[in-house]
Amino acid sequence: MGAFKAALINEMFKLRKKRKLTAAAILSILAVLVGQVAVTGVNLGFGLRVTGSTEFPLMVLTLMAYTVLPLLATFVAIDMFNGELATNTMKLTLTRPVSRFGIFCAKVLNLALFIVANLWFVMVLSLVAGWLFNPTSFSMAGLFKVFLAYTVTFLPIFVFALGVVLLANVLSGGLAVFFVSVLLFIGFNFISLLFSQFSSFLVTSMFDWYTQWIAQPLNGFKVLRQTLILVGCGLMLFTAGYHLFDRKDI
Amino acid sequence: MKLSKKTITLLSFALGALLFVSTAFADMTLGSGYDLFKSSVKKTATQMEKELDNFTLEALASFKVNGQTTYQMATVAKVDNKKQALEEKTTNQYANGQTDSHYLYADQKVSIWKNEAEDTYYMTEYEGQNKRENWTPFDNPFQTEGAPEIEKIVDALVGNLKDQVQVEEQSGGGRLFSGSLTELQVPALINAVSSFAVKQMIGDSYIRGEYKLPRIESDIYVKKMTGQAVENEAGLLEQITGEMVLSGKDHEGKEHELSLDIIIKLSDVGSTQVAKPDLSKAKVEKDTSGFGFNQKHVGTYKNNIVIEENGQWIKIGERTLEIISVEDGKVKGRFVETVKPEYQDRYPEPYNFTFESEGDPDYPYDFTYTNPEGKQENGQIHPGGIGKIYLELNIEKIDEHGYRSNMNYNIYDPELTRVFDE
Amino acid sequence: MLALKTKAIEIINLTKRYPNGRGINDLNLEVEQGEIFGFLGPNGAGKTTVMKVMTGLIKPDSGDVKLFGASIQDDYVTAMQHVGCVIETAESYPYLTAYENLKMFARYYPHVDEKRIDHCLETVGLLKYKHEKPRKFSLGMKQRLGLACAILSNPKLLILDEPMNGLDVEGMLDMRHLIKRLAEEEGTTFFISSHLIHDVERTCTQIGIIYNGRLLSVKHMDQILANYASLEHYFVSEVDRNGRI
Repeated sequence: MGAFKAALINEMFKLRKKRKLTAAAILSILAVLVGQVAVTGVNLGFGLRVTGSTEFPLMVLTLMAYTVLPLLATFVAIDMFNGELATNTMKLTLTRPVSRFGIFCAKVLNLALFIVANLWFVMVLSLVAGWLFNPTSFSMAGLFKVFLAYTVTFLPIFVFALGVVLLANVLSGGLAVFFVSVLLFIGFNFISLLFSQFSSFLVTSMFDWYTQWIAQPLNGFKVLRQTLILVGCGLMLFTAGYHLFDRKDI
Repeated sequence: MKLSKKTITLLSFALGALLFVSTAFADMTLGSGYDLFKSSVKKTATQMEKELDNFTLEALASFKVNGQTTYQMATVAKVDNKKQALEEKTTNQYANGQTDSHYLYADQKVSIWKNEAEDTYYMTEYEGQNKRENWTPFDNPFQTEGAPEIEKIVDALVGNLKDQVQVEEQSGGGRLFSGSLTELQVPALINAVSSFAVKQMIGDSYIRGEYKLPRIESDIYVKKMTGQAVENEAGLLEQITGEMVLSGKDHEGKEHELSLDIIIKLSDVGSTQVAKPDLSKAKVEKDTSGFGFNQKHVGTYKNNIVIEENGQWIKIGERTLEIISVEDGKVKGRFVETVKPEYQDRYPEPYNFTFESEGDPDYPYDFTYTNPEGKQENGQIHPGGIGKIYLELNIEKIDEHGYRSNMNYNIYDPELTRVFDE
Repeated sequence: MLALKTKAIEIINLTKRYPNGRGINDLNLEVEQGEIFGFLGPNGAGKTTVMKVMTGLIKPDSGDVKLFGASIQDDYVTAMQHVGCVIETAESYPYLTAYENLKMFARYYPHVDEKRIDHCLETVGLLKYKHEKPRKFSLGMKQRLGLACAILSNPKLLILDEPMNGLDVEGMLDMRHLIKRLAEEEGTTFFISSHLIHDVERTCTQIGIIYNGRLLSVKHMDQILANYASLEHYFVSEVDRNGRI
């Protein structure tokens, strides 16, 4: 356990020192700002209130869940695997007294923490922006829903990121992994748009599953089903990714 | 028993795959409340078009501003699929208390229309050549052209809201569908589009006066959307209700609430009586416009063949169309062009043929004729304004309802005017 | 008493084949604790492959490696507990300072504190570059940093792949002294591959020669020097003898 903790701290330390976090923060701030400018512009120009102060974070979430968030998660995942292999630094981590399973878990957990941190960061930003620019409506119940929505969005994005991790262990080039991931993402979205009956199988169509969670009344059975789908898919991807990582000759 | 790493990996993968595939498959088969509702709507529409003998469909729409009704529309439609007949009564109520209503009866042979404020019935007959045998009192909206495409777009827009439609099985059979969206859940796109539509509507000062609308200028948004539908034991939707609430601020910053309620009810399946109104003592005005031909068209029609020469218009001859008879939808006629001998070199070989034409009263009548060179060509004939008939010659068919005339309209004029014996 | 000590390294029937036909074939080797084992062989003989298998970077096709009795395949964490290594090239995280690089390693060993980090930096002569990033380091400095990382945890076994690479004369002398001192003072076992045959002769106590993926012979240095004029003679004669077969 001590070794795993060390591996996790090391992964987080590397992520921080590589300024990936700064980049993520800047991108997130930009996205929120662009969203806010658009919303304010539409209200001034057309008189339409696209979002109120609590809907604004949800609108931002929908936009981010399909753009910046998976993109950043993909970057981090690729960097943790392909990036370290390319710079030959993977062996520095591997030759420590820690199992490959421990390292893989540490990397995946680091990725998970990154996604959560990114989500919450965007949430706080958009709440502040929403509160500053659209102070018309603000409620505690709304606040809780926003928190819930951002928190549950973690799961589908994490499962997608696990898919990227698997790819990163299949293909050796980071760029190839990136393009295949983007293609898969676009392809999945396209399929779920054209053949919506298959969307149950596509993780990307659940990026905005937070709508299920904040629905009134809550469709518990559906939420349970989607959770099971995501957990099953995640377990599959995690195991396959670990299997390849474990067998990898450095 | 200690499991090897390989076994654990395999087990874990298998467990994940099993969980994923089985739940996703179940999820797909179960479908969403939205899918169930959609199939129920489709089933009902299909039955209404064909399988139900008769039924009554009621629709009520009301528009409220700050809780006060400013406009209301109520329609009751009685449909008889056996008799292929429809009776419909629509009433509008406006903000100033004024109401208007009209009545319609239609079957394959006739449609009768009456404004309640007047006592005249207007009637269009579809008899003889005007028959409309393909007319049905109720058309399934899902069978119309472009419906599948629209359905796809709507599906995509609804997206993840599909599961917001809750389904409740009723004890006596049938189901209850319900769904509601708060402002948090209304997708930004739907919000923007509907708000914009309302804003445009309110922007029109005439409509604003008509419906007593406040002048809303900013912060327009969809506050709430709710809907309910009841399906009976037979799987037919008996009632659909929907409500949409919008909010917005006027130029003084005062908030207003606009709401739209819609109720659609299906009732009296099997016990609806559709009756043709008794017009024996009523004042009736027959409408005989359209493409159809009848006895009034029999007669002679003429126009002049005119050319321009030295800045002057000169009549060089005459065209004569004679409608010999109109019987059982068949139009028989003769067309002759006469050109003064001294101008014969200024005009192509004149036409001279008889024809027999048959057609659908909703479209121009087609016929074939022999041109002066002895070749078969296509022509069309259809009524024009009062006392006028159009005769198009040398027609080329592009597709089912697309035509092109190859006539030179600098010298040919297709409009012929009735000549009366006085 | 000495005979009862567990072997520092046991390589048992180790085989690893690459698709290009190269690799190692049925390799068996034992190294006692406290030895400075010199692993000699021409380029491509399989030295690095053996070292990568020993440190778990590569999975063997068959056979096993035991470090202090623990299997590298079944009990990696125990096997690597007392091992430090520099494999193939001395890498470091270029975006971290020398200190941060060491800190990354230190986290795995609770007994390593700030003093130990400073001590290791001092030992390899990098203390004054403590807060500089290896991006700007020379090859020799990177080699020293790699060594500092390897010795950080006071390992009982050090596996060093070409440790003299990139070092200047002074650095090579330092390195040799360091190896000797650690072996004498701490009883550290070394497994060193090198192509610098004179250096190996002066440093190592035991020599293994690998050729074409097979281990030709393992002999103690004093035995070799008793029969041959120098290690070089021995190496040439061994390779020559097997090359003819």
